[in-house]
Amino acid sequence: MTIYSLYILNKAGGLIYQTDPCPGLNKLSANEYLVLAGTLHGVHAIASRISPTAPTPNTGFFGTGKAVAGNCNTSGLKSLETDAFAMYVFQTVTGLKFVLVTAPGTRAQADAAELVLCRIYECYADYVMKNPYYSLDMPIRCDMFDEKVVEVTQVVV
Amino acid sequence: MTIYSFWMFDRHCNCIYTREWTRSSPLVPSHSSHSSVSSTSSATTLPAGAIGTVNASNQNDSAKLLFGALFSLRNIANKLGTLPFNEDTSVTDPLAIHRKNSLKSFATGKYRAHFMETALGLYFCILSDPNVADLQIVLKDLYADVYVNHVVKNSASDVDFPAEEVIGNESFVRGVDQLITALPAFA
Amino acid sequence: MSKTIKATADDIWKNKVEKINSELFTLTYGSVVAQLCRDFHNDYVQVNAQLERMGFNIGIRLIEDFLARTGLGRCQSFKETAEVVSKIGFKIFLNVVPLVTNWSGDGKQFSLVLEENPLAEFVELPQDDKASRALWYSNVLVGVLKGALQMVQLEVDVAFVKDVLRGDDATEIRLKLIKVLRDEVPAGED
Repeated sequence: MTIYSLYILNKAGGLIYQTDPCPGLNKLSANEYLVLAGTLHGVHAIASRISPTAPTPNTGFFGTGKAVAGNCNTSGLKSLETDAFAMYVFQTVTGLKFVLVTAPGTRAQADAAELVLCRIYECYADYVMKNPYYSLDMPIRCDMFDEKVVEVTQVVV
Repeated sequence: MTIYSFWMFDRHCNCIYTREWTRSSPLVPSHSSHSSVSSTSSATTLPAGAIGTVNASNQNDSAKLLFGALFSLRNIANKLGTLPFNEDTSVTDPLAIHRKNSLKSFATGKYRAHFMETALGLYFCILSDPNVADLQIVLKDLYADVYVNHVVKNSASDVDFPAEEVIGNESFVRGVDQLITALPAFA
Repeated sequence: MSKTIKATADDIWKNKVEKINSELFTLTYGSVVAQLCRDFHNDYVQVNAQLERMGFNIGIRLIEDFLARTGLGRCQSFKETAEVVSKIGFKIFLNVVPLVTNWSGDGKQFSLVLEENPLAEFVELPQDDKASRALWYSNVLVGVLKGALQMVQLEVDVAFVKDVLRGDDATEIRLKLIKVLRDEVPAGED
């Protein structure tokens, strides 16, 4: 799975982190990336409003006896497929969104992408959250986090 | 595996056709209460024995939201994606350089929306269960067989729809139903 | 059901958590409290507030670590929240499992009773009456719980009601659910 880009959006839909491990997408201006992030945030919310089925009650941890996947994206935009790329969205309980853009692939790729996003979430919880000089919801400028992300995305490629 | 609905939008951003096969809860209802003058704006009657509704949700908020989502995602696809410029094909197809990356589908945990845009700006969208595989071929058939034959070639039907006019002719409705109900994905 | 939770928590504690010397931890926390007392000239109300604020800043970050490590989703009821906090949260971060008791009639309040408190091992409060009346030594925990739960859209009022350091029979923290911040729940969740 070739990873073209990774974006992290905060609770309000603002772009706080972006990295492009492999070339393969168009280069846009900084403003356009911010607009892209805001659009994704909005479409993610809209997608849950146009669902053709009724919302099902979530039985959660105690009902099923096993941990529900950390991806709290039951009815919002989860994945996107185009000719040139596929995009996967992982939303945490705290409202953070991790967006992975990869080369187009089969449906099975969605599971692999979710795994990558979980690993990135763990790196975020370690290297960003535990950095006392990082303010919440602000753009991420942590070198150690960059290195870890490179490590995670390299392993997959 | 189910197919929930089929939507068509024209280049004026109007919803010109809706066909819903299953509905377990009402979608976002329309808040507008203006009465429509043209009779084609109300729900079209179905052939006997068919389930669901036709053209009942064209003015609904859900139609507008769906169009908005499709439009935004299509723009994202166009902006972000690059199609590799192949030297060989550009010789035989001089328009190859103008091909833009197009949105194929998007999915949530509850449904998958399959999308196709024609060169004239017509949007075809099918909402199905998330497990349904690629329906691009079905969308292409809906366009090339059903739409072109029953709407474009039909001199009595509009091609450029004024606001709130919908596709209501029976042969089109039947054609769409025949194509979709014949799919293995249609429960 | 409870076996699964215990098994999950034990597994995470054993494999995914880096451990440090507990004496170092106790000494570090102790010196923080002592320094705060000196800085605020034994104004224990201020010290409590400061400890809670520190805990709050820890809590809002710790929740991401907790969610990332456990992969848990949203709790469906406040009772579930109580179980997860005591059996998984406390287990992973402090290796203690407090008891969940004293549920109120409407299910919106409960107490956590800590049998052992790693923050206050070997600690004795100073002899003057003021400290044993006014200082909540482990008040950082109050802030952590408040901050962490606020990040998952639960506004909870947390406070110590009893502390063995003060001469009570047990260490007890009371949690009261004020409201669920529905507006802030991220879109896309049922």
